[in-house]
Amino acid sequence: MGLLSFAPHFCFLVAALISLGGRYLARLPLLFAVPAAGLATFLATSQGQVIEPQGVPLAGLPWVFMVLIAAMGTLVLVYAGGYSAEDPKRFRLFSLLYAFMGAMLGVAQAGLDPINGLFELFVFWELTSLTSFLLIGYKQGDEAARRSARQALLVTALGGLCLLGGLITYQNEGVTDLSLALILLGAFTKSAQVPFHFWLPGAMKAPTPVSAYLHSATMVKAGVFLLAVLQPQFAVHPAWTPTLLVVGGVTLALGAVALCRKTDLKQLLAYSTVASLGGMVMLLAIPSPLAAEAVGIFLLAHALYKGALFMVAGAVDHACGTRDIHRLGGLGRTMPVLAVASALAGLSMFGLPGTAGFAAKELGSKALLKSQESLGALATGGLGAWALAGGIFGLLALMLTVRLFAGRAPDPDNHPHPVPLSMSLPPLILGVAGFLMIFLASAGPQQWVQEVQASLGHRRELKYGWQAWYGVDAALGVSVGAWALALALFALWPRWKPDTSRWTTAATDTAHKLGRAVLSVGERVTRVTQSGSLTNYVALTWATVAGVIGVVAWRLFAQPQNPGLNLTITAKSAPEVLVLIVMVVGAGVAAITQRRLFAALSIGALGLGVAVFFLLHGAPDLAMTQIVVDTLTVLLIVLVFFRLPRLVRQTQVWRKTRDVIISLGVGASMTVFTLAAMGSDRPVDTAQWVAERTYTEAYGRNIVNVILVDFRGIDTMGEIAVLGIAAFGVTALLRLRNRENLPTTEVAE
Amino acid sequence: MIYTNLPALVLATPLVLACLCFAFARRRRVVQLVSLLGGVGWLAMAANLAMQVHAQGTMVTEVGGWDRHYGISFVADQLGAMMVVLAAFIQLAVGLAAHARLDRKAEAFWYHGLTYCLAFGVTGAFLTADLFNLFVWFEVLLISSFVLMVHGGSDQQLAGGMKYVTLNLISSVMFLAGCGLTYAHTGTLSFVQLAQVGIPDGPAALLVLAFMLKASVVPLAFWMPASYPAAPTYTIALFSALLTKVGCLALLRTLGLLQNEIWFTVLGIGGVLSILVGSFGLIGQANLRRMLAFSSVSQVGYIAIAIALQQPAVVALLIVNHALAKGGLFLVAGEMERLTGQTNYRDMRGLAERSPALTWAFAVLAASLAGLPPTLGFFAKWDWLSAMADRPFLVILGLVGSAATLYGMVDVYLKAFAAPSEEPLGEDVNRLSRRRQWLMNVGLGSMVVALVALSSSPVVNDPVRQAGAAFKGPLVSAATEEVRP
Repeated sequence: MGLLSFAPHFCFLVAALISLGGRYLARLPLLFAVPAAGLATFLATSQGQVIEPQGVPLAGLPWVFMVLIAAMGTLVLVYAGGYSAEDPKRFRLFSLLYAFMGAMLGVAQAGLDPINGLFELFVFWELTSLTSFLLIGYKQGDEAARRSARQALLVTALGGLCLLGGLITYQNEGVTDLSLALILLGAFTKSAQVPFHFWLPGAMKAPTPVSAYLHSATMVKAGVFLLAVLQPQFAVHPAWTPTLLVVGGVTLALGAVALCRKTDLKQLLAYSTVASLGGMVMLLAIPSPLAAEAVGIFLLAHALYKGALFMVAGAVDHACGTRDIHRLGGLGRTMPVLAVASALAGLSMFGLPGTAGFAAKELGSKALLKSQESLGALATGGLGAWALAGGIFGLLALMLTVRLFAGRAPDPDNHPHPVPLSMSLPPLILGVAGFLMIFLASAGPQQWVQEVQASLGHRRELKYGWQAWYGVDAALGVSVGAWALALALFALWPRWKPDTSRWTTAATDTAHKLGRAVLSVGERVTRVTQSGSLTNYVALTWATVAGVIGVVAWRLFAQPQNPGLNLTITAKSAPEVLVLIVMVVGAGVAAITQRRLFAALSIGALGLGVAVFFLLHGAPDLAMTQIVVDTLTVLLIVLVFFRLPRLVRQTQVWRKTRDVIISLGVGASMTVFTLAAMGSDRPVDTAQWVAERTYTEAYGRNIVNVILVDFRGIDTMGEIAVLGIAAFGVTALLRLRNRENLPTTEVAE
Repeated sequence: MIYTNLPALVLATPLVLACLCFAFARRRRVVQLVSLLGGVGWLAMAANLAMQVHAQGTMVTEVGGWDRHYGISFVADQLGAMMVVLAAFIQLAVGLAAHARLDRKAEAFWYHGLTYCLAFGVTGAFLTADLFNLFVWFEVLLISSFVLMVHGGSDQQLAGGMKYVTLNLISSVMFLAGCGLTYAHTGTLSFVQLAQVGIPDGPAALLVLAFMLKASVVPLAFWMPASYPAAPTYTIALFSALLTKVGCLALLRTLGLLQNEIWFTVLGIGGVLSILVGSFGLIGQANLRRMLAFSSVSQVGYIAIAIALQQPAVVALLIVNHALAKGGLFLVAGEMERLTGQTNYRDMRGLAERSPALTWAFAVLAASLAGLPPTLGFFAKWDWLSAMADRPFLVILGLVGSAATLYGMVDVYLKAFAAPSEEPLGEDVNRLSRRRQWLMNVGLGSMVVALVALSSSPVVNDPVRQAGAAFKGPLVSAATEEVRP
């Protein structure tokens, strides 16, 4: 039983094996599809078995999705074998496809337990983004491929980040505005909903097997899948239904209209996929069992016909060297199998009765019609988009069958290569499968739709299910309208081309503009924060310090009961006041003078003042030390300054003002802090503790010495280390510095 | 709590190694041997300490045998011990890479010895439980790092070093004043006592600002992008992996000592600003080193917010991830510059073809920095966001910051690695000898391997998160049971 949870890891293992040893089997491409086929069979027969880590049975939409992923994967691998026959490194493509399959299966499996599996779901979700990045950029040398790979990665990865935030917020806080918004952003970017749809047509630079697998059947449906498994929890939020309905409906309509202008086969299919995904999102908005039924049927039908058509497009491209529909035609004679496959899939897409596509179209219409009672105008709009898109899908189906395979070739000199069976058989299988859905419905397909219903929080109870004909009702009217529209458009095409370029490029342009704006903000941040001038950095740093400690000092100062701040000046403090005046003058001179020498001397006066304070408070040894240090410092400074030019006069008034304010702020705050500390009652008496032990335990008479070498000896050792390192540093600097590039004398700012 | 000399022994080792390196400075092979074998030995000792702490509980050395309520003590709790292991590992791995790149003259002038001095200061700062002693370690690592930064003596290095030392001295001044005021207020500098009485607002303000500058939290962070890019990449790799972390750990340990809880908020605001400035700064950079420096500012922002919200487990994950990923990325940046002769990553091309191994190293390190699954960085990001889940603003901020890092890393990958070079591949611009290339590969490779190994650890036994979660604040309380030897 535990085997089931290894489905994703099985794929990763196969991927690793192929990347290690695939080159030796490169002549047997079919062999690479065998593991996937086995996995698909295994999954299809494992329904209801318990998956170990989460302890949930394999069922519902996740199960259907997993089978779909594995089965589509098998066909795509077979197809890729033919597609990449000339590529000596094609095993890399197979390896990446397996890695992607593993990631995708992981997403689906995590969906089994949408409450506890969120972490896992996200991990695999991001892995699909990463592997698809590698797959889209598979042709590394191609500049365009790289750019679209980057675009796809950025959009889906940014969406992934939103999803991460959404999942975490949901896990901790439940359904909130934020978690809903973030999760929707994640799902919409992955499933290419307007306005994030632009990456999908761009991703068509990928090899066709990749497009067929990722961009129609599986990865882009991950967003829809996520919305579906979270729907039972999130549908209670009032914004759920309207948001999904509007975003899905707009994507459906815009995607469909935009495709009319395209001539590249894969671009046509990409836009139709965008539209179909919009349709699924729109159906997910409706909280009824009928809509769930429609979602399930549409999901399966779409995977079958769109996958087949992608493969057909890739085979045509492979054979004729072009994907431009204007330069293709009359291919039926040279590629009969492909023509049949395309016709079967095309009929389904067109929505003729008896096909899977018809069932999807009918049920969608029914669900939308029925929801009009509760949703009103929104549902009507949705129905309009549904009918319009149905018509345009019909047009596309006619283009891909009648135009492509019937009639005559526009360029008689172009002799297409034959298409290998491995490329025409998979689409044929998919095309036939579309019909089997209807005619063998009771053997499985009905049950699959029920499973989707169950995942969406409804009972497993089909109202209609897969049928070849649903009788005459309003929904049939919608279908008939769509057929009529399709035929009319086909008659007009290619003369009729709605100008949609503004809509389709608007999103890309906005994204680019946004990107550029963010970049320019970034450049500005650098310019402002990293001016390169040390004076500015120092000023900014001290200004921050002054701001923070100024506030703290002000609050301390405002406390009247603080004993330290109640200064009383008596006759006894006269000497201190005198010294203080000398020190203040010294500080003032140091700040104002233009001569370095004066500045150094006045700082020396400050230091001497401190020494006098030590003397007055009965610490002659400290005073001695201070005088020695002070004298040496002044001497050294003077010696160094002797070699430096005069200080440049600071002329800008605002700079002066700024510096004065900062200095006074810091000085005043420090004064307040010191005074406040004087008034403290010192809850701990370390001095007493040290005094008691100096003689009895440390065997010394001079308490300061004992502190320096015993109680806090490690500090002393550290400071000695500092001096030693400085000595090494100075020597190294002088000896390593190249004599030739000594700087020209720098002028102080 | 166990009283033992083990923490002091682990602390003394880098000093001994530094002295040995200085003593044999004339004999290049001996220095190399001492620094590498010694580095392995030190790593083993640190790992031993961490395992013992994990098994038996916090270990304390009372320096000179003086009661730690009044004297100085070193406390190795799980987090501190883990940080020492991290420091020893980075020292060794980056040391190998430095061996690969240093010229003979720089080696002769004590480069390796000076890195061990830096390690000495870093270890002391991770272990000490005394405020003034912490100041001493800050001085040790400030002077060592300044010397290392200007080691080589180019004008660019001196200009960067000047900014570095000037701005960091502001931090020292504040720290020293904060120490003095703390003593004046409370009569003690020992963390044990301070945890009981608390540091009042005046000195608290100075200490928090001093540590924020050390950790490079905006608006006190400008020294870092201004100075780091000037030094050689193997030196910056060491700095970016360890120096800001010292500031972060000091913040984590001391914030709990302060009387007023407002400082958590102040730090949190600094963290928010750091993420914003760091993120926008990094996407505006064409110079790879500056981009990585800005990314450090943004990463420190995440750490600062996690400290402010008292999430030590998240802090531990973030610190370890950032140290390994950013240290490794600076080494990669050095290799990228060496192979292409460019400093602007938009001008580098074709690196994927030229060096697939370097490409893989970059991919793993960058993915972890950007927090992509299944790397350690992803676990850190997940935990960070989970801890912030009830604060929508922070969630969105975290996502914005991550998006910027991701964008930057993808941009570097596509422009420097994936883009094919315009000219056919010739000889490498600056070839290393085979022995040097081997040292570089081992050094950089071990960082990547460590990151990958730790990436699987949150699922297996989770040492990093556990070490962080075991952090009980600075309060190594007198009330807890004590076993005297």
